[in-house]
Parts: sequence; structure tokens; C-alpha cells
Amino acid sequence: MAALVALGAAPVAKIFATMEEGPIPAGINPGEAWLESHGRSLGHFVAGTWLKPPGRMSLECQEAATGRTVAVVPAGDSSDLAAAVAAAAAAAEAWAGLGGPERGQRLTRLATTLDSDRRGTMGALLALAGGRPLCQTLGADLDLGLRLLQVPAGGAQLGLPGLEGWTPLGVVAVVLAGPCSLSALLWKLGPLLAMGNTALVLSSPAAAPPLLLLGELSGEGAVLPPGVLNVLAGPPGLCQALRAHPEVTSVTFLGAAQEELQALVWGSPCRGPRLGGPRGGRVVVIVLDSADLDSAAAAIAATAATPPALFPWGGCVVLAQDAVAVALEQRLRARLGALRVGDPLDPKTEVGPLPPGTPPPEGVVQEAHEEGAQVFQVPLPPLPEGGHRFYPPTLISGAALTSCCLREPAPGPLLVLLPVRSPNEAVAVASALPQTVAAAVWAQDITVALDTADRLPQGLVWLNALDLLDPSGGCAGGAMDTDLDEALREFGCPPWEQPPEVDEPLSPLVTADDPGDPDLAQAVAAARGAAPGWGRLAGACRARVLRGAAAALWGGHGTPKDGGSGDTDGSLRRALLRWAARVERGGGAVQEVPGGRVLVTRRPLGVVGVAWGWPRPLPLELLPPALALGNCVVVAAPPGGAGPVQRLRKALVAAGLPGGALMVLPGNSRGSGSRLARQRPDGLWLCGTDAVPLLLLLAAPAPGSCCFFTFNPVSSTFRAHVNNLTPWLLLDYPVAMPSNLEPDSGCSDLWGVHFGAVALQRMLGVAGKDLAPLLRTFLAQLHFVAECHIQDPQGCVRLEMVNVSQLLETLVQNLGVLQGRPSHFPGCAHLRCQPGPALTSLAVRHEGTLGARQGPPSPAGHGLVLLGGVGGALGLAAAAWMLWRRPCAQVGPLEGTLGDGCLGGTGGALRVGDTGDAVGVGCPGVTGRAEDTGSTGEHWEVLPLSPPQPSQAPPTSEQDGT
Amino acid sequence: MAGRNPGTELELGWISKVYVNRPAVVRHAEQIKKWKTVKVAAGFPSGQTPLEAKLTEIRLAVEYGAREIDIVISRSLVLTGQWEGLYEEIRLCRAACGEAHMKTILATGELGSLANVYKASMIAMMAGSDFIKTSTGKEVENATFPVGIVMMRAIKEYYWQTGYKVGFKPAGGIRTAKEAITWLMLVKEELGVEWLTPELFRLGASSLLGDIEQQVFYHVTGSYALQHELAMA
Repeated sequence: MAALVALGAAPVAKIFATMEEGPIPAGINPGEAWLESHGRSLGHFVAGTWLKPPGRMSLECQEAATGRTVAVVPAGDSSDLAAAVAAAAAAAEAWAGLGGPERGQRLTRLATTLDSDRRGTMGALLALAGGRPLCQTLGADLDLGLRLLQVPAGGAQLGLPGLEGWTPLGVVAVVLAGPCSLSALLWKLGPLLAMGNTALVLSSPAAAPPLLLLGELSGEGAVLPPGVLNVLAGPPGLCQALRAHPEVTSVTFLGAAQEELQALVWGSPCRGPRLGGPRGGRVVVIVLDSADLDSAAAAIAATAATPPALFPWGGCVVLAQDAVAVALEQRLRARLGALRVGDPLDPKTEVGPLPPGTPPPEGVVQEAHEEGAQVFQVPLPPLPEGGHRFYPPTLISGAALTSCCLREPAPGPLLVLLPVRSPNEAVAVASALPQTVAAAVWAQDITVALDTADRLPQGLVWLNALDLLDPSGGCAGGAMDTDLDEALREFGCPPWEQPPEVDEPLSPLVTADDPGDPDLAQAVAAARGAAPGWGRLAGACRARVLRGAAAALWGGHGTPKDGGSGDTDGSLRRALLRWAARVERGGGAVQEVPGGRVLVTRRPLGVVGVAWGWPRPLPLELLPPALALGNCVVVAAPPGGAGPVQRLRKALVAAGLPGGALMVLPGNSRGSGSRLARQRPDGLWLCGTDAVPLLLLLAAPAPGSCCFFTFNPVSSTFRAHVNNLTPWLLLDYPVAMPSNLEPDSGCSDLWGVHFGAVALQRMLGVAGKDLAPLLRTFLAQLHFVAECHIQDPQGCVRLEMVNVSQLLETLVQNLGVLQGRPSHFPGCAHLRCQPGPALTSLAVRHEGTLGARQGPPSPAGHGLVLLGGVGGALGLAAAAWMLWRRPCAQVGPLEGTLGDGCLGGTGGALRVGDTGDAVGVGCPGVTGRAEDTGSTGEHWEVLPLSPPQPSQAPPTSEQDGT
Repeated sequence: MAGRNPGTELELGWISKVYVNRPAVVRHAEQIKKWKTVKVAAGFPSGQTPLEAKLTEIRLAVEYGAREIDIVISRSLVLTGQWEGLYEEIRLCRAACGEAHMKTILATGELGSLANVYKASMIAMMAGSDFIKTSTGKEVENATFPVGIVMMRAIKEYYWQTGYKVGFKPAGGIRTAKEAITWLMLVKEELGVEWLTPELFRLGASSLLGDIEQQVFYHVTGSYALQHELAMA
């Protein structure tokens, strides 16, 4: 009894009355203990030891749940960076020289140390810094991370046959630009180190403690030689200083938000940045009428509480078939209500705080509420620090399809429930939702479940499960040999000869305002039309077409005058035959992951653009694999180079290729890449130096984002800018302004600014060199309005000409009003007009739509990440089914642009310039084995661009006749 | 004892669209397990006694003053999908029980599938059981966590449909205090704290008491008891 009293336990009767879980006597938190052992003052971990430069400002590492400062790190600056780069460069040769087996052994030892002795410490630090509940960080997250470290280590130890002759890149920097879990880091770090590179990890102070622990572990007992793994904490701009270090051969950005990317664009085109790691996104769950509703609700609530480690917080959309929607909602409410919200360091917590740096999804929820949706929110229990870093589990039901909560992923434990009529409608909605990275189908009816799963565009589809390990960890980390090759090759130099440098000027920058190229648009549209049919054909049918073309090409010979890319040596014919054979016997592969089995299948990307810059030859052998795997290809050929491609096209079409599947059209020698990119193909191959302007184009904000600003977007100095402008303008210069907008709708001022910005933008086109900069500065201040993507769906806005002075006056007025009100504009994306006579003339409508085009049409960064549509995995398991298509686009663009000696790393998505023929379009694993080692030495970029567009003919609800 | 469950009409609609995904339920049970954390019956234990004999037995027991009656359902009715027959049988037993509380033992180990367990639970509740119980403790497969989850989900659904709280009693195979605590966690997770009362939740476990005594002994003294230190369970 004395022992019980000493424990301070509540009286037994009270325990039985409340049946509360008691505290877990955990003793001292190992994470805190580790920080304490360093005096709560950490340093950088460089060259196997702590680097604590004196006299440096300190940055605070905060606890995610409370904002309490748990430790400080010195603010890293360029001198620290230089020291770290030097250490990494010094260690590079020795580390690479150790050889794969030795490296693999050391990495395995690191994983073992992490697993056994320091597991508790690492789990606690991750929960402390990242806010994910301890039961996750200590369990599933860490297990996945360890696996991602162990698998490449094992591969390196074995010495994979596919890696013969590959050499490491040297010093690779990994920049954690956003919130990023340990598993996401290890996903890149494991292959990187196993390949023999030395690493330099730049992290924000908030995320630094677990990484510094990893660094310290690598130094303990010299598991890794000093300098192999360096960890630096610093302010976000620190990575810019990497430019000054040519020793850094590659930079990988993890978790970068797309608007940041523009700022991060690498100075030199020779060392392109790449985006790595998983990008945020949502999970869409489809619950059909034959589902086990209770199990589905339990799994959905658990996913809402803590999303899978590799999909950072993005909320969850639930599509429930009408027959079960009400029952499911009732169950979801009960489950959400039972979630335990609390301190992430408490082992029984299920919902932790929002990850650091994430704004609460307040605006989205409020907007949904204002639009008439039902919002169910679980009241928060008493929490540390008033709980302002927590967000209650929330269920939004009855929201409109256009609602912000559906258009934008919202971080936090947020569920949006949407009833659908049929599986077809569910597929249509799931295809149209932006930024969904994974899907789950719940249905006991296996036929319906498999069929639905098969038609979803997401790369990963679970069947009757949500908590199975994400196999992208398994694949990228490599349960299959081919994939492990891919993961390792990303950080290696190929053994074949690199092409000589060609001095080419950069393409002109294509801006978002550029009018599109109608021919290209038509060609891409034709290819899009052909893509579903061609992609769905059985492999044998596609093989027959390729064989037919090969037979037809038997006699024809290209002339070297055609750019040297004719089929002079029969290599094109061989490529056609080889890929015909491959695609005929190609199929999915079943793979085991903890908890179930996964079927990995390949899917075509869709439409692949090929931009061909003239001085370089285009090896036609690269086209058959793209076609064989079901893609449609649009080639922009320079003048004089189109002949051989046309011949190939003719042969293929004669053999039965649909006309739209291979489009050839004349392009310029420069800039066709950028113009193709504007047409938003699903993938883009570049043969030239277009990459940098492309990246800028891609970095434009995405359409469809919500009009919600954390801070008031209106600059306080706008009056001064207007005053600067006034003397320069002819005061009776006519500009078009709307005359019939709905007046007191709360949005009218925003719309006014929108039209003002459009008018000023047009003036910029005719402005002289003195006025233009002033206009540009002012426009930059108005740019925020573009984020609202204001559109006129009804085409009701009437424009009339007013004087520019009047425009400026109205603008000042509008901005003044906006400055004074909350910076949240729900429901303003669509223009509303005063009732009145409809449009009078076509010309006027044209004026109106010009404004709508203001928003950059580019697919932007979403595409970089998630472009789903490739490869697929269908897990047939005793436990569960899972369908997985590899999200190819996770790998970034721009790896090794021209002149980078190490191009040809696979980059995961598509291998580039590997061998004449080793480009697989579809998925990494598709890439061919180097059957003939003759390198074409060609530089190819593959930029998967856009997520499948909703217009891309997803099955619509009309099809089932309901 | 809580208020009696009067039962409802036979509503086959409640069970016609029931699906239970076994792997998902098993995974859920395993997750919860990871968190750490007694009477005479009619037709006992095989449930294959003829109905007439069962009813007579019940009437006799009630006459002798039994306050609680356990009945075992006929598994053949479940396996062949004769839900009306099952409902009628339990209804008759219910009538025979009079004012006594009735526990229905589903013998879940022999029902074939989790979906059958769900449906049988629902029918038993519709017919007026005050408690549903997993098994007699004598079958090959006793109270397993997945079965418990499914039965509790049926209880919750019945509560949502009618507003009556039916009790739950896992029985058989529960031998350690740790397992008992996992059951408590399960009930809290699936049904909520309001079910964690003796009126709505009981454990049938003949060998559990000894282990609980051992655990209490350990927590008080710091060592486990020797065999002679505790009375025989």
C-alpha cells in the first residue's frame, strides 16, 4: 500500500469512476536528457566533432507543442558552411575508396546503433521537435527510417550488378527547406552515403536536434569516418552560400514549398537543384457501399490524427457513396471525438500539435462554414500553453466541390466528407482533386474495389487499408533490385563518356503572359486525346505496332544530313524490336511489405513533350520506349531535323499507331522546351539548356489556391507608389474597368484591385523605359491578388473605358479598404455581377477573360511533386490490397543540366542518357537494362510537369447512367 | 443491473448490408494490444440442446430464483443464415426468462466469419438480450480481440439505432491481468467509458483472478507471491 501511496495514485474508487488512463511512469525523457547532457547548447556537427564557433548569435530550437526553447544552436553562416564543405570534400575520397562492402557495413552499424541504444532518444527528439506523437516517432516512423538506411546499405554491401562502374558524385548537400520527417531525410541520405558520397545536411534550427543526434551517432566510435556526415543548423538563407562552393556537386532540397523554390533556384545551370523527398499532399479515401464502415472509420480517423510519415500533413478527403455516407459520418464523428489530443511526448497521445511553421487551417474551415457546410469540431482538452499550437480534429461535411477545403490541402487533423453517387463519380472527383498523393478504396466487393483502384490516377492506392507501410519507402529504398539501383544511381556518375560541352545561349525566358503557341497547343491536345486509348491498349497490341514499324523501316535509311539521327546503323529498328519484346512480357511485380503484399504495375505518364535544341542530335532510339509504355509523344523538331522523326511516325502510323500518339511539329532551335512546358504535358524531355527558364516557369504559383493570407497583403506604401506613377501617365489614357460588379459583397475591393492590376499590366506592355520600372514595382505590390485566381465563370462582367486617373483613384480606394480588413477573402474567386442585361458584345467578353488569364497557367510546383499517373502497385494480400503507382515526379527536375559531368543519374523518374535505349517512360523500374552499352552521350532532362488534369477525360459520372 | 433491453422487431435491414473486413479488424486489434496497457447456463456448453429442453431448463432456473440466465444460440441457424429462426428462438428464451436478465452466448469461435458474428450479435440484441457474450469458454476458439471488436461495433450500432445499451462479456481464454487491461482498453476505444461499468461490461475468466492477485502482490511487495502465499483460485 505504501508503494501505491508513494506513486501518488488516485484513490481506487475514483479510478473506477472515471476509468481514466493513468500516467505512465516514464522517468526522465531521454530526449531532454540528451539535450541536458549538451547543456542545451548544441553546435554544428562537422568533421566528426562538434563545431561551436565563438561569438555567434544563437538560434532557438523550440518544442513543437509549446514553443518552449529546449536548446540553442549557433546561427550557421558562410564560414561554417565553408568549414563543413571542406570537411566533406576532404573525406570524400577516403569514403569513396572504402568500397561498397565496407561502406555498407558501416551504415548498417549506424542503423543498429540508432535502433538499439538511442531509439528512445531519437523518438523523443523527433516528437519534441516535430510534434508527431511519440507512439508514431518511436514506432512506425523510426522503423521506416531505419529500413531506408539499411536497404541501401545492404545493396552497397552486396555490390549490385547494375552499379558497376558507377562512381560517386562527391559532396552532396541536402537542404531541408521545410518541415521534413527523419524518414524523408533518410530516404535520400541512405542511398547518398551508400553510393560513396559525403553529405552536408543544412537544417532549420527547429528540425536540427534529431539530425544533430544522428550526426553524433555517426561520430561515436567512428561508425562513419569524420566528415562523411555533416549537419549544419542555420537560417533559411544559408543554402544560398552553397553557390560559392564548386566542390558541392549536387544539392537536394527536401520539403521545399514551391514559392521558395524560385528563391532557391540555383545560380549556375551546371548544378541544377533537385527537389527530392515526398511532397505534401492529401489522401483521398473512397468508401463504397460494400465497405466495412467501422473499420474504414477507424482507419480514417487514425490517418487524420497522424498521417503517414512520408506524406506530411495535408488532410484527408473522404468520398462516401450515398448509401453509406450518413452512417459513415456518424462513425467518423464518434471516432474523431475519441481521439486523444495532447502532448506528443505522452505515449498515449494520438493527435499532436501542428508541425512547426504550419498555420492552422482556420481560414479554410471558416470559409467552408460560411459556404454552408457542416463543421464538426471536437473540443480541445486542456493543453500545454493554452493549446494554441494544436488544432482540434475536424470533420467538414456537405461542402461544395468548389470549396476551398477541397481545392487546397489543409494541414492538420482535418477531414472533408463528400457524398458521391457511384464508384465512377468517386473516381472522377478523386481525379479532379488537386494535390492528392495517395488514395484508398474501401469495399468488400473485390471486383468493384479492383476496378475502382485501377482507374484512380494516384500513385499509391490502398485497398481496405490506410496504415500499411508506404511501399515507396520499400521501392525507393529498394525491396526490388532494380529500384535499389535507381535509388543509388541518383547519386552516382555513370561509367560512360560524358558528351562535350556545347556553348549554347540560354533560351529566352517565357513568361506567363506570353500568348501560347496555337500549333503546340493543338498538338498536345491531339496527343491528350490519343493518350487514354493508346495507354490502355494491351502490351501485345503496342508491341505489334512497334514490330510493324520496324519491318517498314527495314529498307529506309536516313541520311546523315538529317542531323545524323537517321537510322543509319539499324539502331532505331533494333530499339523498336527490343521494346516491343519488353512491353510484351512486361507486367506488374508482387512485392511484400510489412503488413501486406503490393502489386507494382507500370502506367504511362501520359503526354511526353520532347524539345530538341538544334545543334544537338536527337537519338530517335529514345522514342520507342516512350511509345512502347503507352505514352503519347509530342516532338518539337528544329528546322531541318524533322525528316527522320516524320519517317518514323509514318512507319508507326502505317503499322497502326493512333495518329495523335506521335506528333511532330517544327520548332525553333531554342526555347521550344519552355513553350512545350506551357502546354503542360505530363513529362518533358529537354535536349538543350532550357532548364533554368523552365524552372522559373514552374515556380509560378499554382492555380486553384485559396484567397487567404496569413498577413495583410497590402503594402503600407502603396500611396507613395501611386504618387510616383501619376506624373508619368497621360491622365486621359483610357483603360478598361468593370462597371457592373456586385457592390457590397465584401469582395468588390479585391476585384477592383484585380482589374486594376490587369489594366496596369497591359499598360506595362506599351510603357516606355522610364515608366516601366515604376509600373513594375507597383504591380509587384498588387501581385497578391493573382493568388486568388479570380475568374468570371458566368462571363457577366461588363468593361467600360475610363480614364487612367480614375483607375488609380479607385485602386487607392480599394487598397485602403483592403488594408483595414481581415486578409481572408472567402468566396471571392468567382466574380459576381449586378443583375442587368447580359453581355452586349463579344469584344467585351474578350476583355473580361483577359483578366482571368492573368493567373499564370503553369501547373507549377504541384506538378513537380505529384504527377501521379505512373506505374502502379496492386497489393493482394491476406491482409490487404494496395495499389501503388510510383509517384515519378517526386524526383526533381533539373538534375545536372548541361555541362554537369554527372548527368545521367537516374533521378528516379526517368533515366536520362543512360544508354541508347535505357529511357523508360513510365517509371524508374521500367528503364531498360543496358543491353548495348554504346552511350549516345546525350543530355536529356525529364521534367514531369503537371498532375493529370481533370480535363484529361477522367471517367465522368455520366458514364454509368446514374 | 441496468435497464432491460426490451428488444425490437426483427429488422433484417440492419444486418443485410453488413460487411466486416477481417484484416482491418485484426490490424486494429493488434494496434490496441500494442498500446499496453461467473454462472450456470442453459444448454451449456454446446448449444445443440433441443429448443424445448432449453426453454424448460430456463423456466426451472427462473422458478428456483435465478436472476441471470445465460443461453447459447444454435450455431446451425447462423451458419445457414436462418435469421428469422434465430430471432424466434432467442425471443422464446427471452419470454421464458421473465424478469431475469438474459445473456446470449454466441459461441463466436464456431460462427464461421466475423460478418456472421456481427449479424448474430445484432439479432440477439433485437430479440432482447441484455448481454451478449463471446463464448462459453469451452470452444476451441474463445474470446479473441477481433471478435470482441466486431461485437462491440454491433452493440454501438444497436445503441445508435434504438438507444438501448446492451452489455458485453468476453469469456474464455482470458488468463492474465494484462489481457484484461487490453479488453478494458478495447471497450473504452470502441464503446466509450460509459460501457466500463459492471452493468455493461464483464469478463468471464475463471483463471484471471489468480493472476490479478499475483500482480497486486507484485505491485505492493515488489516480488511475485509464492504458491502457498495466495489462496487457490
